[in-house]
Amino acid sequence: MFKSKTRPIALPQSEHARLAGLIAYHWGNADFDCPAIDFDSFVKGVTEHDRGYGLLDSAPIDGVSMKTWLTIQRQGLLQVCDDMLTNVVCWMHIRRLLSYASSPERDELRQMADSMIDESLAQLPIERDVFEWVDTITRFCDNLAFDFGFDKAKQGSVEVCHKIGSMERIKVEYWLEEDGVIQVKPWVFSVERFSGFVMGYQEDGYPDRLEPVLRPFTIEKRP
Amino acid sequence: MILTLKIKCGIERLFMETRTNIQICPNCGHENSAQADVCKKCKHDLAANERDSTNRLDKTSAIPDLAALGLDVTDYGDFEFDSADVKTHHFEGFADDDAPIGDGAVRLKGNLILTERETGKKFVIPPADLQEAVIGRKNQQSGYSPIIDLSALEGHKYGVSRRHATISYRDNWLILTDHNSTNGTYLNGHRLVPEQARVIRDKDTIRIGGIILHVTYEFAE
Repeated sequence: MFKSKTRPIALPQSEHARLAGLIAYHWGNADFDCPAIDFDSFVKGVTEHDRGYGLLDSAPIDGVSMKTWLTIQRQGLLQVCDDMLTNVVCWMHIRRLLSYASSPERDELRQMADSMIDESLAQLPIERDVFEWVDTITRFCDNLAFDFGFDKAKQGSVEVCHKIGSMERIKVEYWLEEDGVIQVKPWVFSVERFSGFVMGYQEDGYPDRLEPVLRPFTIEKRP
Repeated sequence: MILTLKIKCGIERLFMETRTNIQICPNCGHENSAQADVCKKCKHDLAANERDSTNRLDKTSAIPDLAALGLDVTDYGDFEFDSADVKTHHFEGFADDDAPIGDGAVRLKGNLILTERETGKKFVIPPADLQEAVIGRKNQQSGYSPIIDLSALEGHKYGVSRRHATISYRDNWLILTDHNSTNGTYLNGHRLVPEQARVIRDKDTIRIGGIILHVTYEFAE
């Protein structure tokens, strides 16, 4: 779960997943191509990118030990669904997280992820670059939803691929305000703006006692 | 303190092996040998228990090619957690029943509709049935059918437990609770901790064993 940095509110992973998926669902316009894989599979993959958390969601996301974190990532690799494209989107995300540092345990898991990805790509068959391309968008959606989870004003950016057939990347920046307004530049989405909310809970007593707190958001163009 | 699931699983396995030497008749409670097909006391068909037990999903069956990689994806026994990271919960209720909570748009004002992804079959559940709507499959022995009965969707094949989860309507919120089901309940791809409630809302996705249901709130006019 995410714990707000500014208020006593907890946000479960299922809501982070939903927000990331919603961002992915709106992806694409004349300047930013949609991924070259089935769009529903892509959106589902982004939604489930952190699917290993599940039973361990009662712990703060930045408060678990490395051992537990690795277990979560391992579960994320092994908790598969019947859509291979979705699985590979998830595996690419986990593989990237594992590659941010090195240790025998991380490296072993990363190799496992690589084996699963390569084997799946050979059977699909789709080039790995296609999913490397997709993973830049997964990263954007995850980072934006991740930062929103902590409920604090922040600026971030991710370099994303924008034209199918090219690995050239464009830096996309975002600004989060504490009132839930999120501005993005350049604009990467198919609609002018979109709004929604995530369902958090008052941290006191959670999860034994639920007190829902709605956290609205609006994603709009940065002037 | 390290909680090693491998040890825990070993203990549970040992316990199970001890217990599997007997089987208790669901009809009269008599303890029969594990090999008995009918209850020695009341002649109840014990083999029906086995035929009706929940099918533990082999994850490799969804993606057979994973098995070719030599990955035993059903073995979670070697995973280690720090015990501080693991906590079980029991839902006690909402903190303040009278508190004005949020935007009415997230509250159910009409029927709840669950749409099965593959077949498009819809379960339309009126609010009156949502005091505690059990999701599961028919109990062949007792004849009991849950309100959201997934038997016709091959619930047994897809690992649905008889009393898998419930959806309850409390204080205008719909909450989903897994009842320690064999194959788990997932909300937006995340497995729920057993007995830990979560609010569900319009456009959420629930997975019951291997069956995926899309949530739709039918708003009142």
